[in-house]
Amino acid sequence: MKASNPDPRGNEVFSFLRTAMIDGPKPSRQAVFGRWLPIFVGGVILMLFPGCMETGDGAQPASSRNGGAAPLELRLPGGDWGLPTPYSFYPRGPGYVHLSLVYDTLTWKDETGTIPWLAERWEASPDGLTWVFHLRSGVRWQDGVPFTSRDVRFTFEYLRRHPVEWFPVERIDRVEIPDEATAVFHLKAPYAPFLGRIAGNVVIFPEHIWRDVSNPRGAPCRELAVGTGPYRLAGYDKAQGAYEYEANPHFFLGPPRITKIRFVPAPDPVAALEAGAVDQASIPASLLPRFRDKGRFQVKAGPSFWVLALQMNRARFPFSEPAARHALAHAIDLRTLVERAVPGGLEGAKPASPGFIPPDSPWVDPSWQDLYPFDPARTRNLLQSLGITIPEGSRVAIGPDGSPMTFTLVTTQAYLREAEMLKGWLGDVGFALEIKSLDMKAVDSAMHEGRFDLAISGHGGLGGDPSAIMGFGALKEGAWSAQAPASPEFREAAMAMQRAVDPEERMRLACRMQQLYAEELPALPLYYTVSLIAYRPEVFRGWFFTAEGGIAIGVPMVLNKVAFIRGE
Amino acid sequence: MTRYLCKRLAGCVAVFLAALCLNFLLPRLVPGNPIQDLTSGVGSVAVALDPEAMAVISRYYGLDRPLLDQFRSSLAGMLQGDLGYSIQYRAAVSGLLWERFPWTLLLTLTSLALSFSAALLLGTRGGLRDGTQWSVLAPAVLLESIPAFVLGSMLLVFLGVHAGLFPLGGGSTPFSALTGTRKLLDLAHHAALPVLVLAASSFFSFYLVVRSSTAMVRNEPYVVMAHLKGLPERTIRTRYILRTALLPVVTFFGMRLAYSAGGAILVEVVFGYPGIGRLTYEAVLGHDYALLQGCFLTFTLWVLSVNLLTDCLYAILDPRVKEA
Repeated sequence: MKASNPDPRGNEVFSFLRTAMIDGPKPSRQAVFGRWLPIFVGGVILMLFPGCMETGDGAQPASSRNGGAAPLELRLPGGDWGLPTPYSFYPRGPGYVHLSLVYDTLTWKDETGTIPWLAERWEASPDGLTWVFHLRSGVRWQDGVPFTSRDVRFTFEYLRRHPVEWFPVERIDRVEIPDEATAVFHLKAPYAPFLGRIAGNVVIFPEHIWRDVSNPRGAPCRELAVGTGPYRLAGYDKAQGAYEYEANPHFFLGPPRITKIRFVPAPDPVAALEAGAVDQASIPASLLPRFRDKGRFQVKAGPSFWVLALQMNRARFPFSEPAARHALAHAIDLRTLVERAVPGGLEGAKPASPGFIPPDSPWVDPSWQDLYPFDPARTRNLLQSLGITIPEGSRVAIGPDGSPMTFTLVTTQAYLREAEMLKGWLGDVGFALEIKSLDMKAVDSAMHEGRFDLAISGHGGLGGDPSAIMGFGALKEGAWSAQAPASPEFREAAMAMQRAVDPEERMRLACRMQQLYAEELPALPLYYTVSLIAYRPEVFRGWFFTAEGGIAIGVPMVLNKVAFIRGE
Repeated sequence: MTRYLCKRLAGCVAVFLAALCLNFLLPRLVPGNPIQDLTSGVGSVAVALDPEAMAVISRYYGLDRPLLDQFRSSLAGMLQGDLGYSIQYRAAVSGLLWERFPWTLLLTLTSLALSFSAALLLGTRGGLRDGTQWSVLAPAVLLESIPAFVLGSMLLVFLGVHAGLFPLGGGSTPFSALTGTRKLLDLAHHAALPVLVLAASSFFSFYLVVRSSTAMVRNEPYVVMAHLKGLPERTIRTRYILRTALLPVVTFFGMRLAYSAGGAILVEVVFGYPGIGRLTYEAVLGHDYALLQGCFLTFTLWVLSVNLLTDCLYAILDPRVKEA
């Protein structure tokens, strides 16, 4: 490199360097470090210092926070799930949980099932078209204004004008209010999951605040977050995903025992739990022994209502044939799959039922659990019945037209172990699989557009009403989930279940749907994951898994406001 | 010089326009879309939307319109300072970016300043001496070879979880009543680990550039001549060696500065730092087109302005550039 003669006018640029580093003849190492070490050490102390001082909000031990007596304050792992108003919460399970702390619904669920909430009792007409809710008296909004049936009517009318995807109100014809304490819902058609999906899910918001809001999806402001719920939003830091809730002293069931709930930034909730920064976190089954053996934590297991399934493209041969799908089911040992592929083995997941509905659901029909036992010989027979044979000396089967049975199995990085095991089992019966690892959304998209042979993919929400579960029930009259069985009989059963009011008839239909699903087998459910939480019992031990599939439409989280109100 | 800068500016404008088109197209080339994401069964519980409902939401957000039409609206909005609406965050994109950008700026500038100062201090000393500074090189190579997110996770586990010296995430203590110096200390406490990780991962490159550049210049004939003329050692070092040696360092600093915003993505994710890097990561996961465009636009403007600034600085430092 040829350097030019330096320009002396640029001296000021280097003045700081002169004084800082190379002033004077060859400074010794000791001299340099002697000069810089105190600054460096000072900087480090400066960064550490706040950790030593009382910030008024640091990670204090639970006992000192709650005075070692009745639990008062909880810290939970945060994350931004939107401002908790009906139009700004993110339509996912955790977003709804935040919303439910501030707002109430007509009914709610605890660990036993549906319980009265804003409505103290209700009845449905025999034809299922009319639902009458008798509202609790003396309920007030958090700003002190009394809650009346006018707010209920307003909520549903407003939601019709400004729909929110989480609240399905299009089935409601009109809401009448004969008096301030009664709301009568007239439906367009009987809708049996009304209690779970509408009365126990749609939050009621105040007319006096929202009536002047013409664009609810505009800039959300905290002043709108006023409900009748047990907690008042005291702070929201969107960038950090932090929330602070304070107990509503005028809550209709009395002041909640947990007086403050803080959702704090915790990119790794398990580490945050270990470090004492949060009081409860979900843990993977692989860490179960670590938390179970430590006296300061307790672990609770419950259903996650989440299934991992092998999706088969029914538009392509041989998966278009039920016999081929049954053959695949016989070729896979679900118990071994769970034991070897799932972290935590059988404590982390349960082998799935070909009837799709998980064993923790009140709608399950357990008779289909062992419909397809592991039996490779039977697989070969079923494949032969379709003209699929393995030529002599070859490991790859050929179809009736001579085409080799080679397929692509798409999945995400997370399920490569499962994919490898399936590849081994299906390879033994002549199906050669090429595993392709894709991004989660790419797998979803490939399935959505039918660009796949086989796919391993999972989804949640299995705890809801079977007639409306994604990939199982009917979404709406005329609209059909692509992953559900295609037979008209199944579809009719799902629609009938949505209309039927009689519980026994509904259970019969749910069983019939599971039977049809297991027989048609549009996808092979592989396993249901187990939800595990670890918590500090000295802070709060009242955690429970909500009955009937989870909070509202089936959010399988333990953050049920009933637990915080009881404060056990 | 004016001509030189005009040329650079014209280049920047051309790159900016091309980047605008790419920023619009790239998110849309990824399989899936934000509406599909709303009802995706993956992850936490979502609502099951029928095709009709998805079409209504798609229409509401204007995603059913032809791409060219969407691009035109996006440009028109951008000219008026409206970067669109984030479906995932239920908020205006510009507001989200304004909220997050200062955090990233704090992280990247502090870490670069730290690694740059350390590299200047140790690199010039190394360059002016013969032999290899193994005491600096060995740990620097080690830190450079460990991916930033791995190093971050290790520090988080040892210093955050086990030693309890640092917070486990976030940019500050939420809802604290701290003010003034205590607030600043709280910010420094939260930024300490991510800054250290970013600084450690960029130190080695800085150090090598400074060291080799200094070593090269100190043997130049004009430096030898300066010694022969009997000029004071201090003058030779500052005016003759360091000034020339810093030219490639300035360019390299510009490059690192431009790269730094993108480089902070994983570190922000590991530390749950509320910067624009984490926002981009979340926008990618949620296929949030408008937000992705906004994040990419910020990165584009950041890179272009840093490059332009580096060019200007280079023109000031190196007279040959002015002559050209």
